[in-house]
Amino acid sequence: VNPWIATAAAALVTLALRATPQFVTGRLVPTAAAQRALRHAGLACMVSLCVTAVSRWQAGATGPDRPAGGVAVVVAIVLARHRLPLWAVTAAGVVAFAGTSAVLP
Amino acid sequence: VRTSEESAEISASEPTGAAPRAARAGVADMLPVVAGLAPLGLVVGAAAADAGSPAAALVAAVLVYGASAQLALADAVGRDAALLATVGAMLLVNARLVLYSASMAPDWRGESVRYRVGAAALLVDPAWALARARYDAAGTTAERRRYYTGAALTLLIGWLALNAAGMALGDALASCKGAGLALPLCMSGLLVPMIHDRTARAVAAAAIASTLVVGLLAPDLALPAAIVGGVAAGRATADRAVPA
Repeated sequence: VNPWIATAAAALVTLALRATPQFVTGRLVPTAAAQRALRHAGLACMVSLCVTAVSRWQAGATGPDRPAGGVAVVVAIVLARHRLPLWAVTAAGVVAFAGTSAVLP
Repeated sequence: VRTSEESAEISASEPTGAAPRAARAGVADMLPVVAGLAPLGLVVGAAAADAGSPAAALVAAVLVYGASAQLALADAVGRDAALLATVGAMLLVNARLVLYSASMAPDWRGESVRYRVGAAALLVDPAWALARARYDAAGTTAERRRYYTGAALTLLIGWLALNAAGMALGDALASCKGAGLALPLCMSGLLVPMIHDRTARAVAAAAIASTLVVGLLAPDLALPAAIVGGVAAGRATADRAVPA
């Protein structure tokens, strides 16, 4: 298929998926419980993407990088729980990874 | 995680300039996310350019705007797939965007049609996570709108820059040791503050378990399984919390 036609079709589909709920959700999902379920679905979606990203990274890592990656993720989670800003959480995770990876044999 | 805006609100003694401050806070909160997305953005840009027309790929970065969808499109163009198959792939890959948009719909109900379409067009995973946290916190409608606009436009501009750099440089930078870890770290930092009560913990635990278990058997079904499991766990926990 022509790249421009494929791009146009993909753009239309994506915009429809993003924009349509803005105009039908009030009618289709009128109750607070249903709206709460949508939020839970969004949260579950993000959690799943995060777990998949970590798993894929771990699968591609070798040697000391693999445990160091686990340490980095744990550090990031602990710091995020302590309400540190996102940039500090990410930076601390990267530093923890580099430090652990360098120390481990 | 306390957002930059919450910190600014706490330190501010006067209400004047709250909306511009909210926009700046949105930009400040999104910048680390853009940095975390750097390896992915470079890879997506390189893959899209390899598949066919770089100009079409750059347009897709704006209009399709999402790593997995852009990669699926690049794959379809690269192997000359049928148009119907391309559309089908987009529907599957982007189905989660319906959930994100639907969960923001009640918050944007009072906005103009133009704003709602524009805001929805910029909805993608990190933008939704920051928006949801901000709309659930205290603040005026104008502050929330400015915050989301600042954050979402920062992500769009950053993503386009990363894609363009990936097209120019290839994926050499993305193969740097440990660079790929920035994305999961950033996602963890975004997610943890959203898991603040018993129901959210149940949703997250069910999503993690579903992703890991179903992912072993059928990786393509891990995401839908996590959504179903998360919603069911959230419902069960909420039901238990309400006395009969």
